[in-house]
Amino acid sequence: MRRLLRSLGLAAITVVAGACDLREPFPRTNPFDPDAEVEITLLAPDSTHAVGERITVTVQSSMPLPPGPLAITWRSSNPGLLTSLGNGDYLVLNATTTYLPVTVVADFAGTLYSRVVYVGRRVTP
Amino acid sequence: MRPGPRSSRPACAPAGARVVALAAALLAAPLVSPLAAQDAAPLPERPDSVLTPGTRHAGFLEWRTRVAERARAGASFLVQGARYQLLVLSPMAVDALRPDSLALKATRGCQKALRIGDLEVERIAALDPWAAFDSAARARPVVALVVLPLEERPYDCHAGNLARFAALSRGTLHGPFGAYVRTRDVARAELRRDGLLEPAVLAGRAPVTKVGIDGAAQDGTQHLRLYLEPELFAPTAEGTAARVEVHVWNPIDPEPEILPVPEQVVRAVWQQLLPWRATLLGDDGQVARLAAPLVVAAPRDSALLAAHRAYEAGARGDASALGDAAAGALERLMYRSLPPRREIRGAMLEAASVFSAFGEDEAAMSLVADVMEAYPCLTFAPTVQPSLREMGELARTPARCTAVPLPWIALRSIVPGGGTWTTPQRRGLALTLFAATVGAYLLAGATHDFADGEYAKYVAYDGRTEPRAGPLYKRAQSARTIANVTTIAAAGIWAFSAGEAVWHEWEHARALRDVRGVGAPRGGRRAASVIPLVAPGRAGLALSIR
Repeated sequence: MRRLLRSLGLAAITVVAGACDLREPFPRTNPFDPDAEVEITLLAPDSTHAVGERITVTVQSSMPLPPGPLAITWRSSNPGLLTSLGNGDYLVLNATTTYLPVTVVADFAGTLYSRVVYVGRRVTP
Repeated sequence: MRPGPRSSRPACAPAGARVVALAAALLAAPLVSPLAAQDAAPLPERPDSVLTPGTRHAGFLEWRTRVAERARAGASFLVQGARYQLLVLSPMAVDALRPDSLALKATRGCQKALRIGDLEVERIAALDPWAAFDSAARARPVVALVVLPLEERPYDCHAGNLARFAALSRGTLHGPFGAYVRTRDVARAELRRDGLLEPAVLAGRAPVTKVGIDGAAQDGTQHLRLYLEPELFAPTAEGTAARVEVHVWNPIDPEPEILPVPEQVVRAVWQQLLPWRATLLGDDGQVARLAAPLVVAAPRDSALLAAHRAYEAGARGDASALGDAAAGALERLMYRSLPPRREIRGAMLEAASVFSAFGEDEAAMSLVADVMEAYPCLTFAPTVQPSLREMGELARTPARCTAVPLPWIALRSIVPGGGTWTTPQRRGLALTLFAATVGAYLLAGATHDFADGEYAKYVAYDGRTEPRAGPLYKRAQSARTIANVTTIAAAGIWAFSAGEAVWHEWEHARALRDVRGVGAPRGGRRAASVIPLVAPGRAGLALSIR
């Protein structure tokens, strides 16, 4: 019986070694994936200070982004103040001396990432 | 005793005996040349005599009655030819098929298919043309051979083989029938053993009842019964089954149709009467002595244990107990449920030993051959009586009686199916396991590749196209899951093949140990093994006896 168990053990070890080709689940890294476990940050100035000022919002990701130009739709919560020119570029159309918060949104095919930019006009003495 | 399929063994008769047998067959040939059927007088429809028991048959009626009351112990056999069929019935089979309820069951089973009314069913089941013959032959151990025409288009509607055989034993056939055809009628039949005509002790004829669509009819077609001495089914002196043929004539053709009775049937019929033969051992005053009794483990089955105790008493010198031992053991094996295989083997070998001690080597050989068929690697201990050992060698069929070392099997299992391939006669299974394992791994690899491809699409997805990232990921991950499951399945098949190969060989080795040196006194069983030997100056194999 001991001989049988030894032989079975040897056979089992061999087979376990052969069965090691089990692979982990794929990581969800694509920012266009609503369930992606990726951290996306929009980089932009905190505030604008003059009408006609242009700002550029860029995307920073904890994972590599897909290569090539991405089909991101850029929007603004108040296009009257800050309007999107596409490709992450925004133009200040209007501003008051009171700084108002405007949310800039990067729409990754339904997955939204946002950041608040304060739009205002600096009072010159 | 197992009335199962048997393989033929090579005849081991000395050349002289074969020449004598050939000469006897040639001399007998003119005597047994076919006679035209119309030359012979038709067989009677009523028994022309009653078979009275001779001195060798005293007590048979009581014995068969006791057996019939206990169980349906007889097996019947159907042999089919081109135009005719034979039903071979031992006395116990006649008793087993006797109840009207079986014939009723057969016709009831066919009632719907053949559109038969209830009253007609009752009438058909009541037909029993052989009651008088069976009664006349009841006191003698005779084998009944029923010769029937084949059904033209048989209906498999009899609610079981037992019911079907019961109907056939009464000459009742089921199925659609055409008009009477003389060439399908049965006019005469005879049995030949090894080419020699053997007379029936009682014979008769009866009409065939053809149960066709809408009712039963007797159109003049006959069927026959031959009651024969069971010795006609005895094995030859060499232990092989006799060549038994039945020649059947129709009313017009001079040439018979020859139906060979299969060897398995010949042996099974003979063996069914061995329990009765065992009861006769020693009745004629013959005293047997077991010079070298078998020693087998005491069975747990109560009837076999009683027989075993009687055998042990016989071995100690109580010769009268020996016959009881064989009779008790063999009669027990007629009934279900059967004891464990090991106990059956021990009982059959003890019975064979008893038959051999009484000089009935044919019966002993028949039992030993049956045991050797189930255990072809069985060897007797040197202390066992020489006649039994010789029988064992005569009956031995080719088999693998060695075991492959288990570590070697495990090592070979590194290749899927390799361990299975190591043991002979399992190459097909080994190839199947290899193909299944490799196939599963290849499939897993291909599925992994597909999953990787889909994931690459997911990673590169830039929001412009369909399908979107979510579905792309699901597709890739599903493929990976499938690939992993397939890998596990492949490993499972691999593990199974390795484990099964080791387990199978371990069982084989255990079975070999179990049948090596059978019959040795307790504690005295010797096992021989060949082991590698490496010593200074020499290397080779050493025979070790432990």
